[in-house]
Amino acid sequence: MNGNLRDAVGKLDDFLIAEADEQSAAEYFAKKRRAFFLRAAGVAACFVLCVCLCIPLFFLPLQEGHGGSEGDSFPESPSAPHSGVGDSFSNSFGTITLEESTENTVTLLFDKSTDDEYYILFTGFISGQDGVRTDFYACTYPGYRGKGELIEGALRLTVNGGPVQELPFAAGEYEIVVDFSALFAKNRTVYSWFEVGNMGVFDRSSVTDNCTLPNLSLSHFYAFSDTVVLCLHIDHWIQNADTYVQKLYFQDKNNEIARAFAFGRELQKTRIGEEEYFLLDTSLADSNYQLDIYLTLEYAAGTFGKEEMRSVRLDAFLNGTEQGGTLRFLWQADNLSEPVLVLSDLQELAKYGTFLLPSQFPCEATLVNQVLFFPQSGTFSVDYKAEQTRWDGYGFSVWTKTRDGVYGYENKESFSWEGTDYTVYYTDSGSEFPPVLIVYRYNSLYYQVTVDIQRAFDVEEFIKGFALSGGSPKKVSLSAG
Amino acid sequence: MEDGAILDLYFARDERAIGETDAKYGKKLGGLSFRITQDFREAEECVNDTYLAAWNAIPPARPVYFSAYLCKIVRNISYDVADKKRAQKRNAVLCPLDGELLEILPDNKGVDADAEELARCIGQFLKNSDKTSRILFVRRYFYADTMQSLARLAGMSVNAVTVKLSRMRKKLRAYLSEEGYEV
Repeated sequence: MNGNLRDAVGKLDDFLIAEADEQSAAEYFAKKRRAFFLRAAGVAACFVLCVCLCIPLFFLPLQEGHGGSEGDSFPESPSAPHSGVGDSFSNSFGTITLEESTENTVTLLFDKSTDDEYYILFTGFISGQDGVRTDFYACTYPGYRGKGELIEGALRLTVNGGPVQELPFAAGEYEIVVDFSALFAKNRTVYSWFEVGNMGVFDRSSVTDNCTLPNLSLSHFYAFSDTVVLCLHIDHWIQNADTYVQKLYFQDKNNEIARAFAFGRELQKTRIGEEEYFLLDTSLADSNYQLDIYLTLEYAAGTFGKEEMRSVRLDAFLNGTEQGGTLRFLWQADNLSEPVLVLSDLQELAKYGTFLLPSQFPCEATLVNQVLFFPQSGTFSVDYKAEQTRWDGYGFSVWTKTRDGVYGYENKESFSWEGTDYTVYYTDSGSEFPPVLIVYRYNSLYYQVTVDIQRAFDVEEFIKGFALSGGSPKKVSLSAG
Repeated sequence: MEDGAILDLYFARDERAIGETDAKYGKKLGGLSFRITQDFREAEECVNDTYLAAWNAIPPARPVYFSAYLCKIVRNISYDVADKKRAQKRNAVLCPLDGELLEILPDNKGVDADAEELARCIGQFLKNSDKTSRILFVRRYFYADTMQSLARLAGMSVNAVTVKLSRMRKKLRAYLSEEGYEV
């Protein structure tokens, strides 16, 4: 008897077993057969269509210059890639450049060639505690109707130094400043970008994400001091097994990443050809469908000089093959000073049953992209109560910067989750480097968890510390690559 | 009834949970158990034992894939029963599945292997494989499907399924060898 192998097959991921469930398997094979027949029918139809088209084209000469002049109609918005500071779009309407992007404003230089109307549209989404994503938009054109909830009066305009109610439509040169701070006042905006009608789409975070992997994208990006947190979004394999991102290999172009972490673990380096890469095994994650991986990259202290524009490229490969893609982004080092508190996967947690976020939980006020900005000093405690046996997945990392400037961390993954309270106390009064707390999870594929945050933070202490620090949540200002 | 509702019954310690589980999954669990034990009566007992095990484990467990969860339990129980039966020489026939698995990793070489680690390796291997192969593998070696029923399911010939699985076993053998297993 081969007990080992048989037992091992019996311990396969639940997902693999569910995938091969009789009904799922039957549906899969039926779909595969249908797809095959559809493809065959499509090929046949294309062949017939080609024959029908080619015969007249063969006999009729091609006509040039057809289609009218440029001014006949609105040119189509370019299918522009998201762009950031310094980038511009040009067409028959003129040239528009994103001159500056701050926390609450963007400055555009618009050299307008025509008198046509246009609009500036901000779109984004809000992520509620229940995990529901709500799209919203705000537009300078009152009649515009887009996807999601319309937030009126949220955009304040300044044109050539003076406040205006409406955008100027006459041809000319304009410096347009859009203050969209009201959007943040009314929403916990997770992500936003904006579009200038008929011109192009600007991504305010200015991260150039030109990843060519079909199901991998950079959804969020944070940087503080010498540490960068990337949130990589992966459409997982269940919908498209052929593009399952199983392993990611990455390195920055200057080979300067000192250490990398994901799923609460330090990632190991591996060699591909002559290059050394960090290896991220996505199977450590516990989602079968879509996945947000918080990838933390640590650079050696002092890698980033002040005022330095920094370009980092991540080359990601699907299982080390040529199907690689690139994530490229650039940021300004002198803005990388805000400490952050990352609470990852809150929405995911919410799916697992009881996950109580008390109303006073500071996420309410300051959660931005699932990141909390922590005060410069203060005390916080986190009480967790979990009722779960056979659970192997949640933990804390309390990250602090040590005197030599290197982030150290203490993993708190070994504590018991079996109905006990767990408290993390961390005092950092007066320290130069504030703490960063990362709550992470891993390997929870098998088990359901019930997590009940009894009391997340001492709110008064938090607010007091926050006020003392003189801080407000700041987004990292980024520049396009 | 949806899995969530059935699990709610378990959590409420409502005995209807067993009836609902049986109504929804009884046939599937019975079939799986029978394919392993080759005995209807024992399969029925195994299924009942599975319900008892589920009743004891839920709560606190709240499986995401309830069906897979039950299948794992019934499979383990059924193999225990089948092994005992073989040990008593009541059925000396080696299960064909075991013969195929021996091709991959001989028993005497793998005695020290940690099942969890081995499962992780096999899972990794399967995730690298295409979906068709993956499903065929799991249906064959987890659900203990016959080659005939696999061929019917996949719309392939029995020969094609046999060849595909044979190739997978060879690949898995090579993969496990790379991972440090003595094959």
